[in-house]
Amino acid sequence: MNIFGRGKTSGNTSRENRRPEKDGLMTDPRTHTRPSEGSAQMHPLATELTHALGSRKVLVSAGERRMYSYDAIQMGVVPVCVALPESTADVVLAVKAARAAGIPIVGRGAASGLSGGAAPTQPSLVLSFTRMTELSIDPVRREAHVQAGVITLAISEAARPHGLVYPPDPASFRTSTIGGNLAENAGGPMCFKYGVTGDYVKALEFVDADGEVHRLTRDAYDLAGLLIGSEGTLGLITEATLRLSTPAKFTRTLMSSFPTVGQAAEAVSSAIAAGAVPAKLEFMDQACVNAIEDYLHVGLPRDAGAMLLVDTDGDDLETVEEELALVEAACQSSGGTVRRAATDTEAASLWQARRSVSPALGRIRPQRMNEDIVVPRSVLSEVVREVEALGVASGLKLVQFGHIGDGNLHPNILFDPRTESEEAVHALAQQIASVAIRHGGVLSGEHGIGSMKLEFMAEAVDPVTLACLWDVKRALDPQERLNPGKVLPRPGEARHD
Amino acid sequence: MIEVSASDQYMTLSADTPLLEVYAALPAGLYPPFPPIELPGGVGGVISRGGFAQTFFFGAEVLGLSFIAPSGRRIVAGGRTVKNVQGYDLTRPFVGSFGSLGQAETVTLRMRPGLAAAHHYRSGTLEEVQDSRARFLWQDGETLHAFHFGHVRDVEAVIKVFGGEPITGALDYRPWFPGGMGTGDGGPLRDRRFGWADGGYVPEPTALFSRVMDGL
Repeated sequence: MNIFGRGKTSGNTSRENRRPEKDGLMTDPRTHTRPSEGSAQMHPLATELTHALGSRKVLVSAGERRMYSYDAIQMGVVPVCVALPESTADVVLAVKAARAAGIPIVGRGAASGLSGGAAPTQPSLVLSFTRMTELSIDPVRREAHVQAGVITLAISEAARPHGLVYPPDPASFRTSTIGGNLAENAGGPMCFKYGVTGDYVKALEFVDADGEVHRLTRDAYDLAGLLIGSEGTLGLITEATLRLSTPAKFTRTLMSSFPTVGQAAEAVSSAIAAGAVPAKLEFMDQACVNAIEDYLHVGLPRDAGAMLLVDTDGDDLETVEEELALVEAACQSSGGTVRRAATDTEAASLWQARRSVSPALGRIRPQRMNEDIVVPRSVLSEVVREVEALGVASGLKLVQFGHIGDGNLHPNILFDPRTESEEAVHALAQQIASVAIRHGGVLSGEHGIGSMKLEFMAEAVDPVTLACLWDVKRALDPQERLNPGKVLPRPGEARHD
Repeated sequence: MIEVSASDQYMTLSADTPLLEVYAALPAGLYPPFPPIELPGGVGGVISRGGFAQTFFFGAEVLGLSFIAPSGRRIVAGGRTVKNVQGYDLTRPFVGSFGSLGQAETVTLRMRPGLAAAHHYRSGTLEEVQDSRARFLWQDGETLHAFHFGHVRDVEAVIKVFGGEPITGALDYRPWFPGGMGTGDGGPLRDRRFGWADGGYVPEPTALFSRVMDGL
């Protein structure tokens, strides 16, 4: 279910079209006045914004504010107030007011992120972009013009009648907003062949720390490329022009199971070396396959050590079939058992299984630490084995899956904070990050550093480069008011929980 | 220096490596993000100018680089993997910054697979080939060029639509730019982004970009 509704295809976001769940959060005094949360106790910034923007665009009660203190994985600090801007002008007003009040600003979309990026680390103004949902398609220029709060999937839905599509497909694309995708430079299964979110940006509008509006293009001096993936710490992206492409006419799907993860990784390398460029190339280890099977009962091979799920696509059916044959041959020569999806329905069922990883894992333990490492493909089998061994040694429940074509793995540590040590979870997470760095990889491929991987940055980035990144931050946000406590660690900074 | 990883489909090289030397060092079936021609400044020059003739997003093909910033500090940006959101991405603003963020030392480029490749030319202008799927399109004088790689039938289809004749032998455009390769109308080359003219003129950075530049 798309709990956030869909972006409109044109026109302004009117009160009639406001999203239902936000109506439930309205600060309408007729429905939301509680003695303990009266205006007398409001933060001065909340009072000012309520006056300037109107009460329907500002959330002030404790219960409402608390709902904006966390993302999909991390609890944060309850904001002093929440603004729900409907235009760039509203964002400018809110940023200037927060700046004058000396209050940090945290941008937020659907908060489906998995690194703590949208969870405030200090009492802040949260700017929730979910009402900025204007969306229009220019079929001639093959562009989508979007405000930050447009749901990712809505872009392709609006583009499809024009024979166009927006390829980036993060797992949360039914709920995530494009603003959040841009802030984290989100990826997804399609990104191996088609590229990540930032690759589709032709132009950006953003509001800087002073409340000034900037419009950026990318032919030279690509500042947009710096803003993308900066997690709202350098500016607040309000609008974007996105490149659209034509969808492939044909898609073919196969699943291959392997006795060991090493064999699956070897098959991936062989297939790619043979010239295959699959549209999707996903990996799941045995623990992950079993978690899904327990959840969905779709007939996945429980005994397999690892499983690959592969799509090839294109406009020439023979080429698509040939590419699938290359992958099939690589899987078989690496000891894999291949099953081609005979029908679109069967293919959809397999991909539904892959998309169900998160809810399937949620049934095993109430919390998880989600890693997002990326390593060169040539070391994948070693990395997967090392991570697996670390999990076994820790005694914690660990599963691995990911976009293996990109070398992007998501080792997930599943735990129950009531019975398992969070320190042990953190220690295992750090060991996994070290494995990636030691093998020439990086901490994050698509989720961002946020607050959860902050501590690992000192190991991943050399001190001179880190100092330069801080200088970039200070150049664009001298007072460090934009999403403080994210992306860049301070020397000796304590972990934020 | 050219280090090639065929299995991981990237190459790391000195920024001053000529483009045709890169082509000479390529593993079979893999291609860099520029056509098989020579341009001033080698790979570093192309990176500094934001690519040449590409019809795709060039920045994504530069996986990482090390460069000496205006302050003299040596910065390591990006890495060897395609996906990377580990801190701010300084490769993107460096690519196409015309030297304002410093000088590249080493560059790591993504190589993409192609089972076939073709370079054709014919008379014409870029405006005639807006819908072409060729990965590289450029115009020298009144001659139009297309270079494409990929699956065999895909290359055949793209080149068939483009028409023209196959190029034999390497093109070296360096003698056309004795004063350096800058932007401007009336020069000998054009691609979808800029006209390329002899001399050092480059676009002005925005004030905001200059703030970042000054910080480095």
